[in-house]
Amino acid sequence: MRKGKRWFLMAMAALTIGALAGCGSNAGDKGDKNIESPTSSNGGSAAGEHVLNLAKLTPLQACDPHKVNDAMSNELLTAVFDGLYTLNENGELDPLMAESYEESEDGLTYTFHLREAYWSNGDPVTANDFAFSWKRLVDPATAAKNSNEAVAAGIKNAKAIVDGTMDPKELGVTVIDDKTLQVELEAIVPYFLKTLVRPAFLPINQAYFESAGEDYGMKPEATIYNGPYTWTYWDYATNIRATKNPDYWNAENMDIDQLNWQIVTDSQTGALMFESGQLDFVEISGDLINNYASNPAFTKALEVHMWYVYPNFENEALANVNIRRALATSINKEAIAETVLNNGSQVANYFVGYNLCFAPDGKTQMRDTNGDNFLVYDLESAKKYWQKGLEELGKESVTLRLMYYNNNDASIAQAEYIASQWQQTLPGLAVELYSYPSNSALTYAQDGDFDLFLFRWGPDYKDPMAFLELIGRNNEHNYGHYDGKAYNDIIDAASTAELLKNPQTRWESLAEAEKILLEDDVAVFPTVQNGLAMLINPKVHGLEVRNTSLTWNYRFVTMDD
Amino acid sequence: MGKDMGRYIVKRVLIAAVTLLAITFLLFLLMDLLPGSPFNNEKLNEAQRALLEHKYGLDKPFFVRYWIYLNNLLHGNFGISYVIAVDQPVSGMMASRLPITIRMGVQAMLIGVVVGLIFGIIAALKKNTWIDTIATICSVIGFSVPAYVFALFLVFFAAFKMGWFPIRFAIDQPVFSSILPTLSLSAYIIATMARYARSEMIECLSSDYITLAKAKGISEQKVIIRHALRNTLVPIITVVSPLMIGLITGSVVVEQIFGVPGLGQMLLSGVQNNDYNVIMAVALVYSFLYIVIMLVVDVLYGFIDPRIRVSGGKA
Repeated sequence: MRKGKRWFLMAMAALTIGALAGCGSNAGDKGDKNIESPTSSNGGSAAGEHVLNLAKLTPLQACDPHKVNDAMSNELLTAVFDGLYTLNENGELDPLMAESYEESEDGLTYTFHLREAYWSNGDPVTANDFAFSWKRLVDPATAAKNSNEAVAAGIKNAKAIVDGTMDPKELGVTVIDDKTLQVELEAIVPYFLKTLVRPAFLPINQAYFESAGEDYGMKPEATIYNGPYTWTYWDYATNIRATKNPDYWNAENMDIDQLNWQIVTDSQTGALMFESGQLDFVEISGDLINNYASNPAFTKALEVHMWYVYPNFENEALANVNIRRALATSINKEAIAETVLNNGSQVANYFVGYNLCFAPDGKTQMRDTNGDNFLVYDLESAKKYWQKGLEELGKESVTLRLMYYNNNDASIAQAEYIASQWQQTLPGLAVELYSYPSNSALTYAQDGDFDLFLFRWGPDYKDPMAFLELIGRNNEHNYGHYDGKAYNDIIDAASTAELLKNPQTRWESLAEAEKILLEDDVAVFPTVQNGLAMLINPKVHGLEVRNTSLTWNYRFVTMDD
Repeated sequence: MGKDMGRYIVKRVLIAAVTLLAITFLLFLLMDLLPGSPFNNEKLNEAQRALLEHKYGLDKPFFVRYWIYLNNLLHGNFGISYVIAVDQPVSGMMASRLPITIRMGVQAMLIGVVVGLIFGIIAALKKNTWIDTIATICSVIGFSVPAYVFALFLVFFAAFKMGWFPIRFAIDQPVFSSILPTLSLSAYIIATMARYARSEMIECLSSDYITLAKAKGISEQKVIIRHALRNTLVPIITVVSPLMIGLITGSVVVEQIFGVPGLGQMLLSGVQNNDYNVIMAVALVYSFLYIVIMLVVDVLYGFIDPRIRVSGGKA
């Protein structure tokens, strides 16, 4: 007994001394690592080097173009690999691996001529790197998260292969010689070339890929690059780094020497880091926007992402067009854009976002063709439609469930505002709020288990269909099961060879579809086109605008000395 | 005595193993009930989701999946991540994070226990003086302010305003960067320890054997150190295991605030993305740590207090 106690006391004393000793040595250990230093602060870079420190909200998932389709991974992929093309500051095609291309007269065959360029292991970039990668993209065994993009691009046989009814070898991609790649399409696809800028279509060096095995795209040292940067560090958590690729074909025009990404989920912390010079870029939201509004580093930008509400047509009340119109026109979109979000978002009285794409003339946007006056906020008429709708339903009150994401600040703020506004302005309406993490909310949406669903969509390709097809009869994203005949006729026809041959007619009919969708059928309630509020180091240029349908592209970013 | 103790420990280890097994089942069941799937984001269509679920065997029946998981686990395989680091073995991901989290936890526990004891004992010795009042106020604050508020406060003052520490965990200065998270986590422990030590000490000082010792003419200092302090320390180890829970839950939030690439941060991303194997592995590691600490505390206690050991061994 006495022995035991003494032993215990000695142990306590030892612990105490250990703790104090531990405290004492803490401050001095800046060098105790054998990892390659990822420089999470401004320190560590040689003088005169242009190092960009970037805060991002969501973590990296992998650096393999066919395993991911999330924001951070796409950003890294775009930095370390060169596809055939990218988009420049003005959203125009900018050749990377492709030096030139020829289009056949029927518009169904493209022949790309590749430039002289090399992988970071010294191998030349060849046509097979693309053919191999694209066949892997559609192969069901890969289960690629972006295989649908090959289908959207219209590459011959892509759909059948993705559906598992054809061998991946049959994909309409042919290696003519080392530097010549031929691509056949199912039909004319007006946005085909601009689809090729997406990470799904990046090349993979087959020989290296096969030798690297499972580590490809998972470990920086087990992956090779043909882009302006090479991926050099990942802690599988919150730190990612890419360093300038000296062997890049256009290396002399790349101004940034190093990219350090840090995942900072708390925007308050991000703002403090920015202020103390540890970051060159951070997105901010909420109250922080007011705090920084007059700061020279503060920048707002408009994205192509659209926020809108799905009404569920299987709900008795929402099946009534007057009820839908009342709900859609009683949302004070200006208050959402200017006050609730205040992040550069813009009132959306339309569904096909600004800056998505141009008509065949290369100048006209859908907003020029169709205007932006659908479902405009109008409380007086909304109340009348509401009363009319209630009378038609024979009801005095209606309860509706509004579902939204609880892992997105903009979603929470908007949903709460919309719900309270609806309840205040539409007599007899009770709104119940249901918030879930996005992936659970999507499960409920797919099951049709919601009344109203606040949703955000970023388009994958540059065509009005990138939005309009979402509400099409058979589309996965038609969560509310809208089935308007006039609308669907146009959407179905838009993918037929006949209309694809007449792009101007097609453009006009898509404009008509948007009008039917919003004005006649009120099948979605657009709220705002999403904006981004950011703090950007004033010495950094070219980060202001995120390239639509692509991602941040560091090829065009420069930094003052 | 040795034989009793051995039997007691063997029995406790067996109970711990069964508990862990039950935890795996419960976790697996809970995750099966979790709405959503690791392969559900708005960009994936139904066919893609089905392909992915098939590729990773998630389309198999519940018990088949559980059996496969358990079998892998017994071979030391925690599976791979589906989302947060696609196809990356979870064990590898934990290997780099575990030391960071454990370091923070151990530091917070040590600082918390030592500082808390000192505060508590001083407060008890200076009972009903201004020192006691201040110590009590401090411990009430430490007890009631959540770790994340404390963390934000430290970030703002110690890191941002004064610039003494990195605002966010710097991976090339792991020890230096761990100071603020450690302090945030230890506040609660200091407060709990101080309150507990104070009341134990006060009770000790008023007990008969202290009066006897004093009556025997032993000096005040000797009475406190040899009798009161020693008897105060013994029951305190029982507080350690509940404090572990606070440490674990606190670390999830604190790691998020400081961007610490630790287990808590991994758990949170795992939960947000329905990354089943990641959630399972981290939750199991936490359970394992907790069970081990409880076991050690119980055994230690058995060493010190034979009454527990005897009844424990025979029950």
